[in-house]
Amino acid sequence: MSLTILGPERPEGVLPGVLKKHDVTGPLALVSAGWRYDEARDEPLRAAVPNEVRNLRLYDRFRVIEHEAPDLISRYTAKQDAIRLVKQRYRMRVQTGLASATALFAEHGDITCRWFLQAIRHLQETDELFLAEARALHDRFELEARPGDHPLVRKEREAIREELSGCAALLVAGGHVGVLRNRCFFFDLGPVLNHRPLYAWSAGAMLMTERVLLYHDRTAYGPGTAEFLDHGFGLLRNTVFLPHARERLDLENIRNLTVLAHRLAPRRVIALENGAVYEGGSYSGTAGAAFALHLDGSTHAAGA
Amino acid sequence: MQRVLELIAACEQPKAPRHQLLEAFAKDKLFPLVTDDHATFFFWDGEPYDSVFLQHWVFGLPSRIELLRIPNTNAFYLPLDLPKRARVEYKFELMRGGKGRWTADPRNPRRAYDPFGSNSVCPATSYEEPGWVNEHRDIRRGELVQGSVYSEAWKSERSYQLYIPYGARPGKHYPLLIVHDGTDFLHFAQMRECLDTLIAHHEVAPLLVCFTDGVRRNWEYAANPQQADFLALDLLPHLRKNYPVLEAPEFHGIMGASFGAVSSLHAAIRHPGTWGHLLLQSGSFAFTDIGDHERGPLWDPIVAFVNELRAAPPRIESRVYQSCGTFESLIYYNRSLLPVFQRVADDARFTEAPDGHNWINWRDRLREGLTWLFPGPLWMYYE
Repeated sequence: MSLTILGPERPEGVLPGVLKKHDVTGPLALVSAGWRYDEARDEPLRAAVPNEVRNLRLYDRFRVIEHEAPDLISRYTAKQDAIRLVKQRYRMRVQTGLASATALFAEHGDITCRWFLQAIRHLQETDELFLAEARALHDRFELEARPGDHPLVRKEREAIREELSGCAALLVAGGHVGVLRNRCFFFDLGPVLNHRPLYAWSAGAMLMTERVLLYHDRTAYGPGTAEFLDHGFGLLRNTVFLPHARERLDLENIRNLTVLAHRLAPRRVIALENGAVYEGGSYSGTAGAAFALHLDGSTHAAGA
Repeated sequence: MQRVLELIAACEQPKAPRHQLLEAFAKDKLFPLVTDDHATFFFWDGEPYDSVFLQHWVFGLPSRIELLRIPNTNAFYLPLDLPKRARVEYKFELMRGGKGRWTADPRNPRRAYDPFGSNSVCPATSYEEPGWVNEHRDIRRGELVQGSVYSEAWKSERSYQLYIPYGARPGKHYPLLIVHDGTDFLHFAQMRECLDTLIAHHEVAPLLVCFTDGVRRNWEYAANPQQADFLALDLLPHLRKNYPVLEAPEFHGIMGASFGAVSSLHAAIRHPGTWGHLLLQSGSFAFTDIGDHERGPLWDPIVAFVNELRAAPPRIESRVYQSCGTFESLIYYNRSLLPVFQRVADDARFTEAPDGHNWINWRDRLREGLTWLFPGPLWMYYE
């Protein structure tokens, strides 16, 4: 399987150059469900590449199913509601756990402090518990609702595979990572991701890792509490991607970065900026566009 | 200020070419002259005046401050402390023969507009106009539709403007925010542009915003039960029936500034469980601990309402975002109400800003208020 990860492609992207370098000449399948109701507004991408672009329209297809298969959607919504409920509990635990870990680190700045490390373990256990519960809810839905057996879903999944089979590569764009993830999983894209070269950027890149971390330090009310959204496809192991890190993370706040790096360890935490390229196990692209967050809160060029 | 002192020294010299000195001083400068924490106001239009006053709305300073005359000239100046990030709106009052005339600063093109006209604006160097208040070329605009509803409470037809966010989908329902002084919020606080940008940036959830106006505004907004009934019993049901409004109170908000904030709070207390979110800007929450309020009869129902609220605060089933300028006389009342809200509301936040009782202050606080009350999916977007 050939997997290429890119940083944010807006305002200007490197995808056309990468495709050219890889000599991808055939039609491109595009997943842009993360753009939600703007899913079909892919004209800039079509204009930027010489290839034919075939939009798989996952967002649109799901809307049809919403309309045509109310019973299935009702069970799907119940599952999503159950995950939201679990998430509320998760947030309660994460907020207190994070406050505790941050306070313990702030006390002496000692990353070997056993109390700090124990607080980090608690945080990690909380993350694991949430992810396990979310997975159980997804699994139960698959088992009980059997969406793949629904004629309409089966038809749409087959249509997507058919469309994909004639494409030279698959592109997974960024956007709303929750919507993107849910549509990709609903249409069971996982098994076909590695059938052809795959290019994923920003939210799409996050989705290719084992788990998707949501984060933002620069909201109107200051740092939010980073939390996991859910599992990703896990094509890339032991990695957490942070697209737009310079815009979203307070990189001056070594204390918070240290806690974040410890919480996500032993996974590599890689910030992806505009121009970043990961292919064949190494990072390239624009200088400084991909950088790793280390356990001491410092950042270094990815791969260094 | 150093440059003004040099000008004064030069003008004090006998036979100094004062007109040329003033022209040279004023040329190509933006007034008032502002350094980190000082502003120097300057007035000279070539005409003779007995005196010139700075009229401003900064509570804590004398409301009318006389400018100093530059010796042997008809030019005037005034140095003033300016807190960091502050904005001061002002006019000059020109006195001649015992009569005064108000004017904007002719050497300052920066204006703030309100229903009464415009004021000159003196921002501190550290004040930055937020980037989200202006229309952006690449941001798609929501729609503004006109509507009206017959109000049983007022026994008359009431018109409104409804903002529908870009990308609103048929079949999907949205939160609702009702705005007092809606037309003024659209005109003077650029609220439509703010909504377009904040929603497009995913900071604020896509929501429907109903801009309403009073007819006898001050009387209607002064803790008037009819207005509270109009909002809860006429307008809200009408909007829910005719537009895709989410049903639960946790999706219904109401906001206003000054008397509009009073009306919003009063409406939430008169109809508990109806309004899940309150955005109260520079609320005219006057109260008395002893004696008369001395603000005139219009304020009587407000003072009675706030006095009662403070004496026996009822449960407020709303999240309350409150803001006030530190240059407002109302800051004392607003600060005093915060602990009450913290005690009896679902949640409460308060923001102070070095600004006055004006539309730009209310505009500049919209991001904080709206993102807290109606947070958008910013967290989820990685484009």
